[in-house]
Amino acid sequence: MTEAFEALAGLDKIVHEPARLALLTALSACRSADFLSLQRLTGLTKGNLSTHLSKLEEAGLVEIEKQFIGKKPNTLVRLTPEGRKAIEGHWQALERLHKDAQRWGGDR
Amino acid sequence: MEALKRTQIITANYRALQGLRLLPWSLWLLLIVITDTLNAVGPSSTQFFGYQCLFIIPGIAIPWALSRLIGNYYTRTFGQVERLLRDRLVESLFGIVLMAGMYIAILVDAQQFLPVSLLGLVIAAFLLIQWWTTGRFLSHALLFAALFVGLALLPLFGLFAGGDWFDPLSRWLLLMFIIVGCISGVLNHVALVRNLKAVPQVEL
Repeated sequence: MTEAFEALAGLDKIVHEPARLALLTALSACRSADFLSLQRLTGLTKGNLSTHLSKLEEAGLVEIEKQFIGKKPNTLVRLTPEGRKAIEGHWQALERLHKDAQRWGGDR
Repeated sequence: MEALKRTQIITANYRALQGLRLLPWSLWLLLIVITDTLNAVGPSSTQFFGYQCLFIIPGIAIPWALSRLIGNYYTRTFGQVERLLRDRLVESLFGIVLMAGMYIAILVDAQQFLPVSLLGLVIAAFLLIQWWTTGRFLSHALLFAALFVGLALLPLFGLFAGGDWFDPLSRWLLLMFIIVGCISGVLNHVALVRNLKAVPQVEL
């Protein structure tokens, strides 16, 4: 049990926050995604999405590229190699915890 | 966790789920197959040549333009997701294998070496793989795969006069493949819309 709690405490808070976990999970399945698609995938407001993306950018987990398509501004987001490693590692840790939790259920 | 896995699958298949993009092409193919069938029962081959020159070649512009318009609608409404290079390669390879598989199946079916239609089974396998690779939530792909298995097995029941099933069945299978393509396009679009969230208009 103690090991599991240590594993839980060891989860990266930047990655584990639900909205950011959803964003990183979505970005892990593609090369890049624009602001609108991330909004449609997560249901976050523009403000919330911007804040979370800024935090992820500060942590070096995503790259943000601002560009123009025609006359319209477009924000493109992609995972950095560190970001990809972080989300993959995070999912592996979650899967391990999930399996452990199932085992405890079986022990009862 | 399930919701996040679903998000991952939707993102990975973002473009494939934009099923309306292919609808103009599917409808155009359907029109060609129907016209071709009608021409095949017509009296002369010059009719066929005429319709090919006047209808098919300039006709390409219509589904192309409609497809672009639909693409613009998707970009405006759902944004853009660029697929992983690995996924693009797998999809291209899958398309080539499907085309080659269908061609070989038609050749084998024409000889009627087998008591079942290989073309039907190839299409069913394609739909089954599509269902599996898109996270097993597009249940219509599974349903259509079962339909094609059923169609492929029809010769076993002796439904075709004189036992010659290739010509009538293959024509029907191709027609059904295009119709299923149209319906799948619409259902994929519905699946995409149902799984995406509305863009919040008010900041909370």
